[in-house]
Amino acid sequence: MLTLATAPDTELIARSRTGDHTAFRMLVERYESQVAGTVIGMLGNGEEAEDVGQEVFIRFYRSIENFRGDSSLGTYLTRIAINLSLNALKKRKRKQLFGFFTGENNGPEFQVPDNGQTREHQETQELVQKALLGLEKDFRAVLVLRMIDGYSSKETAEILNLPMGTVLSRLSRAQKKLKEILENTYGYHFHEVG
Amino acid sequence: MGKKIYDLLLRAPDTALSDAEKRQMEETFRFKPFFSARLMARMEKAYREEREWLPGLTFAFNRVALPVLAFTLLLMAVIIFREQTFTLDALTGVAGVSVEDIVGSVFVSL
Repeated sequence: MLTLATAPDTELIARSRTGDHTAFRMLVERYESQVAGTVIGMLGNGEEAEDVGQEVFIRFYRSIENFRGDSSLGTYLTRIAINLSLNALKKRKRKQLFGFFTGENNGPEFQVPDNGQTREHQETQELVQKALLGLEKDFRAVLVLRMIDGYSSKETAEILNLPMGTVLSRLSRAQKKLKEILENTYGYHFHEVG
Repeated sequence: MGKKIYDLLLRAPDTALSDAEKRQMEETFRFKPFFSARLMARMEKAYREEREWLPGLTFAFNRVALPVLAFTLLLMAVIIFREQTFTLDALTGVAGVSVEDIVGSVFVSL
């Protein structure tokens, strides 16, 4: 007999449409890490990323009737996650600009929450996220999809609705920039990639 | 560990990562524990709130909006019956008034 844990996405989606919360929760648990990779890669780990991550699944739930399955659920969720993250970055920029004029301090761009991990793990998280946040958002989006989510360049182009050539050039420039940040800021040296 | 994860990041687009490396990458980018529980609680709360204020809104609509609509229709009927017309003059009760006059007077008063 098919249990929820092993049921295919289509089965869980069909059950979620009928209001089966357990099936929906199973989908959330299945795609949580993928969505986390996208939003944390884009926004850094903090309350904002958690909020956007939750919003991704809420949007999906609200539009579940319209999900036709043309693309895989993972790709569909990643597309929502990227769009919401880019919106959050725009909002953050406006807030920072407003803070600049009003003299209000909007706090750090991100904080790594205490997840009960080791100090070393937290430091790694913090450094990786700082390095990623040093990139422009358009470059960061390509890098996150290719490096963290593991999409191919073609899939990345489809998700971001960009020509393949643009994705490849942004990826190459983003990799170069990331290496620069890592070498200049943290003194790490890498062998040539690609 | 830091250098190792950076090395993974830079290698990821060009080489296939092993399962252990993928796991390490996932661990670096993950939400706080019990994400799904927090999400379900948020959705449940939103659903409950919606269920609470929706009947209130329907009640208010039935009690306020419908009588106001009925009163407006009655008023229009009275105007048409008394004035045998439904012009702006008949509506405002002032002869020779135009929309421009009304808008202009509002801006002057501001």
